[in-house]
Amino acid sequence: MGLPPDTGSRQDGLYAEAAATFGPALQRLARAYEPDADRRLDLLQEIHVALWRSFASFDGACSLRTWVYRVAHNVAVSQVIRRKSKAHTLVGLDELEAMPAAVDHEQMLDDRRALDRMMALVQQLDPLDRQLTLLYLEGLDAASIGEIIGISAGNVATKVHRVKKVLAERFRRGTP
Amino acid sequence: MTEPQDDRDLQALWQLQPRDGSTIALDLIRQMAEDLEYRVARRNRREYIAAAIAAAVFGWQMFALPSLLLRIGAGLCIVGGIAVVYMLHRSGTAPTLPSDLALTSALEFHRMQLERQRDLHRNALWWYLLPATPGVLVLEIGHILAQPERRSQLIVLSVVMFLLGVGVYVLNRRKAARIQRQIDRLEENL
Repeated sequence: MGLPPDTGSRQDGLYAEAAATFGPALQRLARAYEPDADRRLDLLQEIHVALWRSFASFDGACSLRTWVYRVAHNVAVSQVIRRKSKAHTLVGLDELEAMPAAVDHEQMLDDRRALDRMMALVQQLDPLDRQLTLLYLEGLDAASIGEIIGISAGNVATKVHRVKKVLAERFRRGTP
Repeated sequence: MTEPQDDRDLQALWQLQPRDGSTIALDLIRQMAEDLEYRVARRNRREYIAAAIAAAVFGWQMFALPSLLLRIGAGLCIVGGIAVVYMLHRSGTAPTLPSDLALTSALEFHRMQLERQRDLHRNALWWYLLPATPGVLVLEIGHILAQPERRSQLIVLSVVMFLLGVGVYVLNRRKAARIQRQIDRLEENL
């Protein structure tokens, strides 16, 4: 990439730290954006390459976590936009709240099945609501989510409340 | 046999999902970055070669065609082709991502990507249709004048091409309007 050696080693170090800390979260993010296994691997590799390239200009103005998630979500969104014409229709939280929860709760027997259903639900969300839901599921607080996405913490809190409501309706114990 | 029921359950379920395999080695990352640059360079080269071939064909026609009008039409097609290639590159249709991705929030980045796409569709008339029109138009008129016995066929062909152009324009405007609605929805969150 034509960088001076010292910049390159700092870049490599930052990347290695980010990959070690957030590698599993990036895998989950790729899974949430791309159901197809081969394309998911492509997306994950693209995220890692973008991350490594981005660390050439990392100045510490934000946390490593914010930096990593911004890069990862931006790469993923650009892929969604590139491939949207071929994809099924995405929906926002508004539509999802209005849709009946077509769930057979009796069959929600194990974690694997619950996870598959959660993944399917996340994958049908439009990019903004998907980012928000993913960051909530990763356990980030409203302020951090707001910093990554670029909306106010109050706005995040309102939306997270709705995300929780939708998830609760679809994952409620024992309700048909 | 568990079933998630509250925040913590759902977050734990999400975060504890099995991983897909090993991490990506740094050397491989470097290699992939180089491959990406190579792919972009190769794609650009392909576009330039295609434009050069088209220019060569019309350039040859500039000398081979029987009438002055047809030669002018071929020349205008070359100019139009160059204009389209230039506009495409200027508007940044390359599928590469900027290296400063982390400096832009996810919402802003999404909006910028959508705006770029919207402008490309919205301005299709200027960067795509209009540059190609003079050359095609002059060639058509030249052919009609040079082959009066085929006039009706050529007129029908011209009408079909015109309608195709109108169709492309309308589709692009519709697409731009659809993208604008997505942008409006994003901006509601600001």
